[in-house]
Amino acid sequence: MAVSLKKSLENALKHYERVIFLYQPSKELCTELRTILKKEKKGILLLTATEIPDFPCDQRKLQEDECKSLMELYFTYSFSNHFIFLTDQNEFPWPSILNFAKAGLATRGEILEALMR
Amino acid sequence: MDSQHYAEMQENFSRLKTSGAFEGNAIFLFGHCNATEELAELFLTEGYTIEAILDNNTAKQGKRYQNIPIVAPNRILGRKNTVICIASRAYASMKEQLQNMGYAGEVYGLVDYDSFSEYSLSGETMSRMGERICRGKISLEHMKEKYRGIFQVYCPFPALGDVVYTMSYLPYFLADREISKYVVFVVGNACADVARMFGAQALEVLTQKEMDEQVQAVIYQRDTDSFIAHHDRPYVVNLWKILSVKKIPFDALYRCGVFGLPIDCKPYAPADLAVYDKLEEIPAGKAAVLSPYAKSVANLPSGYWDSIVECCSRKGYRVYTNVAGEEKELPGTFRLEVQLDELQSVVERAGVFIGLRSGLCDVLRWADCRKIALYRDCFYSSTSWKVEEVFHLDGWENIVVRDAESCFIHL
Repeated sequence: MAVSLKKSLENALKHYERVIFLYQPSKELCTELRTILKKEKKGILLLTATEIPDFPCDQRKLQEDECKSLMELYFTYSFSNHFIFLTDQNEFPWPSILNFAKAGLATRGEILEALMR
Repeated sequence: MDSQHYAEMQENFSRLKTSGAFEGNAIFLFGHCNATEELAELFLTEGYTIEAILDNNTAKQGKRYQNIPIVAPNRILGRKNTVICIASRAYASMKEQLQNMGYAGEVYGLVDYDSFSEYSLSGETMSRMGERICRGKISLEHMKEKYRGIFQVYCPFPALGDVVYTMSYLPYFLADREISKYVVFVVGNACADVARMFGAQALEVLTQKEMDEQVQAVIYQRDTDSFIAHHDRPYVVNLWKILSVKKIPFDALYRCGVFGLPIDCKPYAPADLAVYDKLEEIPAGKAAVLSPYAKSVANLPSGYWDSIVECCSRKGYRVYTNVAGEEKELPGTFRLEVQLDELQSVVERAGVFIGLRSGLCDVLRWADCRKIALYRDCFYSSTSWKVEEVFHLDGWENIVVRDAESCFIHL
């Protein structure tokens, strides 16, 4: 992992209460996340691969190699309790919390709210 | 707590004791859970005094366990000569919380439940976790060779209930993905027995270390020919977080959360059951099988089981304690040691099953007899839901035990 990315990640985790890495989000997820973040009082940094306008929190666009490194790191171990990997892509070999919305047990907004806690 | 983790906790406790880590220090425990209660017992048995149990859950604060007060974590701030001992799978985050609060004393983790989390980006940690990935990739590769073209289902934690729920909803999941051949990976023989009861096509029994490393490799490689079937392990699975905003029964956590099935989907019952070969020795309809032990559930107040035994005996029931390994039968009861796949035949013959709510109750979910599940009056993990609210079993009598003196079971 590049030293600069590691340093900036360490700083971000010290500075922000939640660091969210938004991975290939659908438009719907972006909209819902915007709504939740508007109400959120925690200090949040959003890391994204592409610039997503109008997010009510600090945002940093990652380069392609940074995205790759960050994913590799996150899939190696859990390095922070404050780092959230958020996606609605269904390509992973583990269950998604968004399944609760599909079953009608919670709204996607409630699920995102739960993830911010 | 399972015997392996208990032995690890005992060993770490002895090591710290020998090193003098506790001498002259006020001892605090962090996180009131079953494991912490067992750790408290360890300290008390050795003659130590525990100052308090720290807990973030405001619903638990102000209560006591064994006369030890349960207080908010910040109550330790400003105290000198203190140590905090943790026996929880959330060790890494709890330690981080204490440090962020400004606590500068020693924090000891006595049992490593969660090898996936280490809240550090130090070079040393990253390199160690990188080596772990390499080991995981090798063993995953080995399994891929052994089960070529076969879908891999991982039950990452040795809890009977988790395996019951996984196996009872797995057929829908496999059918949906048009998977005809699969192998189930479990930790420990008891979980393997449960998987067999549901007719698992193929099984691999791993140690927890092997399981963790292989699961990490599945995550790292995003191996879509595998599936990690759990509600809260490892860290990439965050289904349990929903409990911070919604009360969702455990069964639905698996049905809808883990497997993404509709709420009205019916679980499959175990099909490969056996009959206990000494069944005739059990009085038909006039016996009660008690199950007082559970590894991940807080015990009932002492004396409660005595009152149940007395109550059953008075009504003319022959009373058995279901035991495994070194577990002892309750005084005044007969020892019953049967295989998991035989237990349903035993309780159906006996007529009554009374158990501390644990994975064994899930194993007996389909048994046709009077079934009573007992719960401690406490909150589930860090949620604001009572254990009974999350683990309630339909078709059972669900009893919350609040008082050691009262037994509300009418036979």
